[in-house]
Amino acid sequence: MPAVTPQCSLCEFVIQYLEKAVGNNRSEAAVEAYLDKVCLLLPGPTQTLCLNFVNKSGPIIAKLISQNQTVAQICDTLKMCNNGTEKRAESMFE
Amino acid sequence: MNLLIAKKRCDVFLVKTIGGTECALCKYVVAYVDAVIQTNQSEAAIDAALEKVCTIAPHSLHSSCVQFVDTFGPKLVEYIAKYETPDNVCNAIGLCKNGSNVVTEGRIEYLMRRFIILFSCLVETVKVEKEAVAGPVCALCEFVVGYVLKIVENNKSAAAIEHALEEVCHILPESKRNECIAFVDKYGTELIELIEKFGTPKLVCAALGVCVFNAQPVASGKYSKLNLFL
Repeated sequence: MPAVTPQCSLCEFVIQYLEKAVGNNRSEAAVEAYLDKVCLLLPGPTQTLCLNFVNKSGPIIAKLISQNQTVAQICDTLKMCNNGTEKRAESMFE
Repeated sequence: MNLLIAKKRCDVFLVKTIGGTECALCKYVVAYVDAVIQTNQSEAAIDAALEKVCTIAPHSLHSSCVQFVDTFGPKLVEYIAKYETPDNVCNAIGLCKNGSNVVTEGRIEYLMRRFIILFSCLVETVKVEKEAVAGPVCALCEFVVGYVLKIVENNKSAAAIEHALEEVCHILPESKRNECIAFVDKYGTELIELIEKFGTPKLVCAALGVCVFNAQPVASGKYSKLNLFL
């Protein structure tokens, strides 16, 4: 099982959902229509985290999806997975 | 909390709770170890069996297998003595339910659950409960979508879904039928599109906006650190 941090798993969930939701219509407008829906699936404080993430990064997420980027590429660009975020994540839990 | 301990605990938790192949993997390992201890119950023989079992497992399962053996290996012999069959052992560990996979879910639901689990097991101070504000429409929606998915199985074409939607309300008792018909009439077009797209009741009904989940007030402490990070 790969080591996945909470923020990386959040990003992967959100982007995978949005990519599936918009299907072949990967326009920014299509993504934006689902941005306020994706977090409603999550319970309790995880929903708040998700909303923070989506509120902060929504426009860039929409842009990256419209550029046909993959889940991995997008979460990497947003610094939610890999690229040094592992380190930052660790310091949170020490 | 020590990060390594937290990580280890979460990894064990994850092995226990996610992944459709875990049940099959568990039964495979248990069956192998069981076969070995029928002939030789020495500690050396059991250790050798635990070493070997993952090397002969299908390649795609190798790393999950190693993780499973690391986690449950030392206890397997005891479990086998107690529960006797692979099905029973894997049911007892929680990796199978009645001998089958505990979960069958789509990629999105898997990722969602992985996030919830990772979050809640690392940030132990925060209790994460799924509290659906499950109004009657939500329950009806999940029933309708669940029924449609069962009927259409792998043929998620618009025509097949539409046909199933026409039938679904008629299997309900009369007291619920009109409500169901009104629901299907109102959301029919969207339902067809969302079922094609998402293929699980939870995702379809949430996207439809008839099922929502409660957002709890934000806790402080470790959680707020994570919150700041995001």
